[in-house]
Parts: sequence; C-alpha cells; structure tokens
Amino acid sequence: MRAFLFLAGELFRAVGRRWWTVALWALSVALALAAGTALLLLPSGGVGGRPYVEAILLVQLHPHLSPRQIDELAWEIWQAPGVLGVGFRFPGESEPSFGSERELQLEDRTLVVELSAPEARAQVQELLTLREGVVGVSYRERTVKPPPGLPSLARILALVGLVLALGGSLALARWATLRVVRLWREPLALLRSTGISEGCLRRLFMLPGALAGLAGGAIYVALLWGAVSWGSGQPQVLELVPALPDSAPWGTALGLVIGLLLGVLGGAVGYPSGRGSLIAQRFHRGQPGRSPGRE
Amino acid sequence: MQIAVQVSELTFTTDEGVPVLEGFSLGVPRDGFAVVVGPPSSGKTLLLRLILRELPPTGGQILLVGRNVARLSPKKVAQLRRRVGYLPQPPVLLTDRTLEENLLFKLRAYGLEGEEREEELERALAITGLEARRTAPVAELTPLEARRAALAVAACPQPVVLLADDPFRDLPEPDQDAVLETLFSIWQAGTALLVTAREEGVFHRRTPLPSQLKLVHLRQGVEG
Repeated sequence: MRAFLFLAGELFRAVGRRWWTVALWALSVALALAAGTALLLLPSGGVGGRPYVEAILLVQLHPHLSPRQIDELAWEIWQAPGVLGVGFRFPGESEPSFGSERELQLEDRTLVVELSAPEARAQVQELLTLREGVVGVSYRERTVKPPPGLPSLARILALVGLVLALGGSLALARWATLRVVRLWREPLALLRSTGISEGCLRRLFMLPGALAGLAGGAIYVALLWGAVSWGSGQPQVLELVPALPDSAPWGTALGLVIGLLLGVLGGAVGYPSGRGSLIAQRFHRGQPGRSPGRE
Repeated sequence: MQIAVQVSELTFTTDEGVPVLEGFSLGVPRDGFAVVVGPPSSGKTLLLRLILRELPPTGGQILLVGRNVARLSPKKVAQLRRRVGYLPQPPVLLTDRTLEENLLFKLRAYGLEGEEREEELERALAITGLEARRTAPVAELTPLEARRAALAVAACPQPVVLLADDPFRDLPEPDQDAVLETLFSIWQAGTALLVTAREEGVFHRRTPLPSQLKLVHLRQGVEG
C-alpha cells in the first residue's frame, strides 16, 4: 500500500505537468453529466400548442331521479352531436376542470357535459331543457392553456449530446492518459523491468481518471446548482421543468458518483495495454505477444 | 546445491512457426555466474524474457529461485520478481533525476522504508563504485557510469539473481572491462548472475577467470 501511494504521488506529479489534459477530460465528463440530466428533466410531450376554449354544460338533476335513469340520461346525452363526454358529480363535489382558482362547488347531483365547441351549446342545451328530471342547465367555458413543452428535437439533441459527450469523454481519457504515459515513460519502463504487473500499473492510471471524474462531477454540480438557483426565480423555466428545484440534491450525489465512475472507466480504457504498447516496445525491443525480440 | 536459474529443454517457436530456441538447457547455482554468448537474433533477450515469465515458452521447464514460473499466478510472479534483478537492453534510468533519486525510486516502489532503504541504497552505490556520483544527474553521467548506474538500479534491493541483457553493448573495450568488474563485484557480494553478451572477448581479457564462471554459446537458439 505504501509503495502504491508512493507511485500514485509520482504519477500525480507527472499529471500536474499535463494538468490541462485532465482539465479537458473533466470538462467532457461534466458535459456528459449535464446532457444526461437534460435528457431526464426536459419535458417529453412535445410542444403544447395554442390555448383553446373548453365549453361545459352543467346539468342539475332532480333529487328523485334513480341511478338507472341518470345512467340512461347520460348515455343519451353522450350520443348527441357536439358532445365529447359526460361525467357525474355528487352534491358537494367540485368541478376541478375549472382549476383551483375558479373551482366550482356543485350543490345538486350534476352531469358535467363537455362540448366539442361553444357553438354546440345551443343544440345540446335545447335537448336537455326538454328532458324530464333535469332541473336546470348552466353553461360555463374557460380558456385552457396547454402545459408548456419543447420540440422533440430538444430531447433528440440532448440524447445526441449525451452520446457525443460520453464518446468524447472516453476519447479524451485515452488521449490524456497517453500523454501522461509518454511523460512517465521512463518510470514505467523502470517499473516494468522490476516485474510490476500490468494490472497494478493499470490500477495506478485509474487514479488520474478518478481525479478527472471527480473534477468533472464537481463542475457539473456547480452548473446544476447555478441552474437551479437561476431557474427557481424564472416562472417560465419552472413551468417548463417543474422538477428542476428538486433535482439539486440527487443531482449532486449522482453527479459525483457517476463522474467518478466515468473517470475511473476512462483511466482503465485509456491506459495502453502493457508490453504491446509503443512505449513498451521502445524499451523492451520486442514485438508484442509471442513474437519476441531475438537478440 | 541451491539453484538460482534452471532452464531445461527450453523451446520457443514464434507464431509464424520459426523456431528460436530448441531444447536449450542451462543451470545457474546461487553462487553461479553464467554468460550466454551469441550473435544478434540468436535468442538471448528472448531467453531472459522467458525466464522472467514475460512470455510463455513453447516447451520445456524454467525454475527461477526454485519456483516453476509456468505454474505461478501473475501475482506470484510479481512477488518472485522482487527477488530477481533485471538489466534490460537498453538500460532504463530516470534521466531527469540524480542517481540517488533513481535508486530511491525503485526502493520506494518496492515499499522499502527507513534503515533498510538506506542500507540498500548505500550497498548498491558501494558495489558499483558510484558513491561519489550519487548526487549527479543521470544525464550528466558518462556512458560507463550510466551503465554502472543501471546495474546499481537493477541490483537493488539485493536480488538472489541478476539477469543482465548485454551490459557491454555499445561500450568501448576499457569500459566493457570496467563493467565486467562491476558485475564481479555484484557476484562476489552474493548475487548469482546470468549475463548475455554478443562476444566473449571481454571475458578472455580478464585473467584469472573464476572457476564458477560458465560460458554458454547460443547459435540460432541451440546451445553450442
């Protein structure tokens, strides 16, 4: 363990001389995490569309009307032209379709008739006023604003961004690790000549990966908290991404853990495999595998 | 007699089917000094890499410090290698550090601390005659000093056996003789030696040669 820590310290000295490669690697990890978060948080329903008018007839029923008669009446209304749907409400229920601000308290047993358009009102109302068991009919309408959304392209772009950032992160991991390996070629050759296993060296090179991953996670966490802080004061943003304020705690935990894992994976992938590498060949004068240098 | 290296009926054929070593046998006792002499491409480096288990042989058996390396796990091989010094060709040194820092790098990489580390450091410097050059940057060492420095690194901490791959290469004759004296110092300090060389002239220039020194000729992989 002491030897491993010593070698880790030596390796980090070399990493320090190529800090900008690790910084770029960390940025790519942060980008991958941000793209993943966007994919999770962005609404998936597509663009909401224009506001429209919802027309409703409230049909108050006579107290003596039996459930079977109410059922028959509802079926009859539903079959009338211009009717989209029919629902039953008990006395004391509210009609929530008017929203919490304009919630309508119902005092009698009521059939709520949803019309296809305000123009259908006259025809349906005429049909209802002639019916036995109907005490009264009132008309309500409201302007419905569809929930905000983003074009599907936004999610596709987030997905493409995630794939690119993940690929870029691994490519940068390989690039940054190779640069550190080149810088550390003499210690590596010396360690290989002492018989230190490739597995041990690979584990060693996972440490800069862990550092890059943690740094990337930290950058992502800073971006996330910044976005949450800014977005919480923006009603349009909150309407678009209602989960944004709650995303900061779990985003922090997941961002650091996934960032660390991405970095370690990058370090493992980035480290060139042992004596088959160009650097190893330079120092061992042999070909990789079973075709050795014949000196 | 305790064995440092025992190679029996060693065979190696490349993936392309070219035989490099065929039935090669060699024994180096714990107090032995063996030299494998052969022209380029005769399989000298390959022999050392096979002994160090960097490559698997096609056939035959290799005992290193009494252990059959073919049966050892990579972890056990790594542990065994701590008792085996190796001077590769070309020799490896950290050129941006001093000789002392080179030795300390290896000793610390082995986890040695305190007095033990200091003793090994002093021993390696003394045995190679480089005490006065301990603080010299490796880049400023002469070719002979650099070769001795590489031997010092290979021989610390003190190994049971030291495998040296052509330590005389690219050196003028006087320097080759000096390197041979360094090898004798290491051997006299209790380390068995298995050395490869392209020519045996350096050994014939030195008289008297100790009786334990064994010269083995390798011609296209076959013991001569």
